[in-house]
Amino acid sequence: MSQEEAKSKVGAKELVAMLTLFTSVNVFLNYPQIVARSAMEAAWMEPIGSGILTIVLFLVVEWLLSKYFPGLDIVEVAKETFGSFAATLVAIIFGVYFVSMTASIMRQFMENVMTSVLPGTPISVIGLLFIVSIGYIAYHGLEGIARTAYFVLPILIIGILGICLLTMNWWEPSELFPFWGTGVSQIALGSLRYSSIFANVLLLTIIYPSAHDPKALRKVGVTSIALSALLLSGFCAAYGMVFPAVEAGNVLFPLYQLARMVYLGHFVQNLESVLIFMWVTAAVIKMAITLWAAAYLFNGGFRWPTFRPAIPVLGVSCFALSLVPSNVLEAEKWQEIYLLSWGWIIVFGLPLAIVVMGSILKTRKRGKLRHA
Amino acid sequence: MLKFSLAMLVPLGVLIYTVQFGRWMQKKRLILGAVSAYVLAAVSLLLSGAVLWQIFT
Repeated sequence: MSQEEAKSKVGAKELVAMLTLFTSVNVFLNYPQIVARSAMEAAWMEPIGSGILTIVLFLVVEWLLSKYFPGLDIVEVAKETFGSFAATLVAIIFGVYFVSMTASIMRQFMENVMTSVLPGTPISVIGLLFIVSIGYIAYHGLEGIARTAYFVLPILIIGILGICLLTMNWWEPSELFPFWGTGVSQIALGSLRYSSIFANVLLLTIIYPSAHDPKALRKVGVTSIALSALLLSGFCAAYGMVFPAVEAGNVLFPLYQLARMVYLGHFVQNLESVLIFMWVTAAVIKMAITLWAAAYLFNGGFRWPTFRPAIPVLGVSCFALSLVPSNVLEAEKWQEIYLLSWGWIIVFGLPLAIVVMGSILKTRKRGKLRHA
Repeated sequence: MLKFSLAMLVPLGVLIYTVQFGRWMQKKRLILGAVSAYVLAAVSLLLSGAVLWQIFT
């Protein structure tokens, strides 16, 4: 498949589903635990703060891309603005970020599956199964991933809302007070610090040429960010009402622990065994997105004629990288420090800087041509 | 050691596949593409080898 063919056209609904799923999957990871530690009782506010910040940045980047670089992705923008060497460098930075993200999510889910349903299975076997399924979806390209996401998203939403509502009998609304938790400034700081889970801005700059209708991307971005922020915030609120703020920050697998709390009589209890399949499916799609993005970026940066041969080699690297931390606590610590706390520089800072500088240089060039 | 050797079959297979792809790009005179494919293949094999060695030995 050539580079041109790789830019398959994806519809708005599928893109909304893909971007929403990409961000919402964080409820299965340690995000609820991290925001609980950061804002305590006001943990549910941080996804909303991050969401608002992301929407603003998204609109700026989308406006600049559609005005100055229609039909180009971030690597092509970097190439047009700074030259081939910079484009390759940008592709490597973003590609490595996505590989690290895939590895980090994979490790957390491998541990989650091992702890909950397959305690006797070696971690390498679970990882191998993960990488085969992720690779298979990523191999089908953006169109395949987006269509799968469109199919899975309703199940994911029902699952998250279901868990929140089924634990209603454990809710203690007083656990959400004091209302501002650790304080307004701390919430604002936490919203900025952990905003990198909304990697939609970076993804937009990658999938921009693949949108069936680029004009609809603004609506796609805003809808997906708002929906993800609401899902994350709703889950954090339910989680905060079930577990006291101090304890919420120390629970290892928040959603799994919440699912274990479901007890609506003798026949409706211990639903985690049913829900784990849904979580794994959603996680596989998220990892397929990140793996595809890494392969697509390397493909663009190194001028490969197709992205597909990069999938096996990147998949194996992700698997190996996921096993580097000695335990799940170390893996979560690395994720919190390197991918979440500083991830915003790569997710927001770098794409914004490239697009803004590219736009300025292009405007100057146009001005010079007019005067000449 | 046997487990390690068996586990290394997958990274080795991927190495061969990626190197073949690199050679194909070299024939097409895509030098940057070929070099990056070789580097990626080597990094992937070394990383997998180190991690699997730690796990199985």
